[in-house]
Amino acid sequence: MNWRLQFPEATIEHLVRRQSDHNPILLRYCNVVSTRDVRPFRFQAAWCTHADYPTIVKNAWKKDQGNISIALRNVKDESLVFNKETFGNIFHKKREYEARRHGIQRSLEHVDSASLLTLQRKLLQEYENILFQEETHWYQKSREKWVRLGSQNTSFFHAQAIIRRKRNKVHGLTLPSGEWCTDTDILRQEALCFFKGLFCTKDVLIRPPRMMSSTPLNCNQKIRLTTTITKHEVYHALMGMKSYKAPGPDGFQPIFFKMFWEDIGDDIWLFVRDAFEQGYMDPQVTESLMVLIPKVDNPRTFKEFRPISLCNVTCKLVSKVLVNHLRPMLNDIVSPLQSSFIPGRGTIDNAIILQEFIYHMQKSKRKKGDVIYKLDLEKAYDRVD
Amino acid sequence: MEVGQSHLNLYVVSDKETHSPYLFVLCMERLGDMITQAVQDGNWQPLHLTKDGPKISHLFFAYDVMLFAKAKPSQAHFIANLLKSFCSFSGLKISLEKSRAYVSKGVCRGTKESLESITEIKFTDRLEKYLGFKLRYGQTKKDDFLETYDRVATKLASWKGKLLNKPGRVTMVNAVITSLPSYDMQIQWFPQYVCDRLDRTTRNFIWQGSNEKGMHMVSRKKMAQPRKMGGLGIRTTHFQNVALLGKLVWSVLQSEDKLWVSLFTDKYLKEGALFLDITTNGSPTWQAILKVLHLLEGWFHL
Repeated sequence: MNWRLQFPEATIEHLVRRQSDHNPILLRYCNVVSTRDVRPFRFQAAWCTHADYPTIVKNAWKKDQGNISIALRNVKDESLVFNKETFGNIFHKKREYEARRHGIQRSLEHVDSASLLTLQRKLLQEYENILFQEETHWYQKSREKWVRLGSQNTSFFHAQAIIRRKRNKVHGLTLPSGEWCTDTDILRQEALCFFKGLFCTKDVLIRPPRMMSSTPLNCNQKIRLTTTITKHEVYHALMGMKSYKAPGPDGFQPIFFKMFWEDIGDDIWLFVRDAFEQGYMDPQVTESLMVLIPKVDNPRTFKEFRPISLCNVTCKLVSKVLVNHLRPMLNDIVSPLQSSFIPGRGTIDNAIILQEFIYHMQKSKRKKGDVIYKLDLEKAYDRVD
Repeated sequence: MEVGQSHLNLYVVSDKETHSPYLFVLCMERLGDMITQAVQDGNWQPLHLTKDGPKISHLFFAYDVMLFAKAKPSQAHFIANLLKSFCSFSGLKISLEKSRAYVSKGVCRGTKESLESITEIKFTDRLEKYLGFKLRYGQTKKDDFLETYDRVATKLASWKGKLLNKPGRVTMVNAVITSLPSYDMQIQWFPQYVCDRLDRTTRNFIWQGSNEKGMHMVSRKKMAQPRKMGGLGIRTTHFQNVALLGKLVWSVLQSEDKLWVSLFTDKYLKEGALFLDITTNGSPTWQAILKVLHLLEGWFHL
């Protein structure tokens, strides 16, 4: 553990053995290809603990009325400036405060002074604040779910973040041609190629013939589906999200929207409502970030990753409100032969029916028999168009 | 895009909605509609257990698709075409190598081969698992439960067992071990010898840990009592099984709108209610329901 904290970048590669019967191991402890790209913007939860930050957000948001993506970009720019000029580096500040407190305590040993005592008390308070900021910072990065924020588990969160970083890093992969590759540029191109093939359908989609659903909605439900979205609904959907879920390309996690709901709530609500009424969203908002989640411990090819898309919170809100609208009706729309993700229906319902038919078919000796097909849908969730 | 950084990120501009499972469900419903339509037109002959019982043509659970039809070449042709057209506009792909088909026992080899050449789906003697449930064929055998024992044994043998003290082991038994078989217990009757064996392993684990020594200091009946009454709240496998199967009995009595309930009432409860003399032979699930019914009889007020 200590070793991992000291050499966060170290990797091991097994090389092919030549004469000896031992495999040589190549240990790289400082990685050459370190931060070369500009890191994308990420909202930092620790900023919220600073007293000035809310006003900065409010002003930046108000600058351009109405358009969410522009407003968010303003907040982002302002936050970066704020981070650099006011907020500063937490770790530097922590060290500085420690040095100052040390100095004061030293002088207190010699002289007793009321002003020094109050100064010390003030410093202590600020120091606590910085500690909390540091903890929040690492808590956000560690993505740990089972330890709560607020009991100064900083070192634990820090270790978790380092391990996560290590696990998520892609050092090299086997290309489709069979070569082992560690070069970042080639990997980039291959990744783009692979996922283009996966997501872009080559054959032109045929328009399905129009068909009446076997279970149409009744009048009441139609009215319920077409009513305008209320602010409360949007708020409810937002609060249903986990605060520290991974952000989309704009870099804002749900915690940001929850914190500043009072200032920005109206605009968000208008955005969601318009999206429903016009059936259109700004393509900038729907941009999403694709992240590869390793399916196995040490992935070696692109196939061993599961791609997931991280969408912006605003975009997620729209779909979440839509789902909340649909959910109570699903039981009526979806036929009883389908039972996934619907409240009140479960796996046993299907399993019992299948078991019953298998028992039946095993017994029947007639020549004119029955047949069951079990179909396997390839990459089911990745591919719905 | 960044490679070699903390993530391998790709910015993809897409005008699609987020992939919510509900959208997937609605998309699959489209296939369901097509099948229902075909059944109504008489092109698809669904299966039924009794002459005028409910007809089943398909069962969906997320990406698990089961299709039921008569084993005829004409039907196979129709199904293959229908799937092809569904794939062409939904964008989903069916991998034929991984799909399997199962026919009833009487069907001769010639028919099977012709079906296989039409749909390109291979036949299998038994569909092993569906949605995590093991499917049963014929009489319940001892070997059917080997997997359950194995799963419990591997959990106990893990390194964590060695490091735990007694209260820790009790917690592990309560939280992990006794809940492992509960998924299968929902639709399956566990014979007494299976329950005894599972109970014995958990008791030995509590008292002995991983070394094979240790006396059982408290009777198992006392241990099985709830904590309020001085026990340890360890579940007895048999009672757990009865309780879970009791849910099925309740469904048969209460929720007639469930598909499987209507299937069962049609097949087994043609004349008469659940508590009167009814046929004792039937599928494993039905027999399980009957066994539990006898145990619970005294507690029903009709």
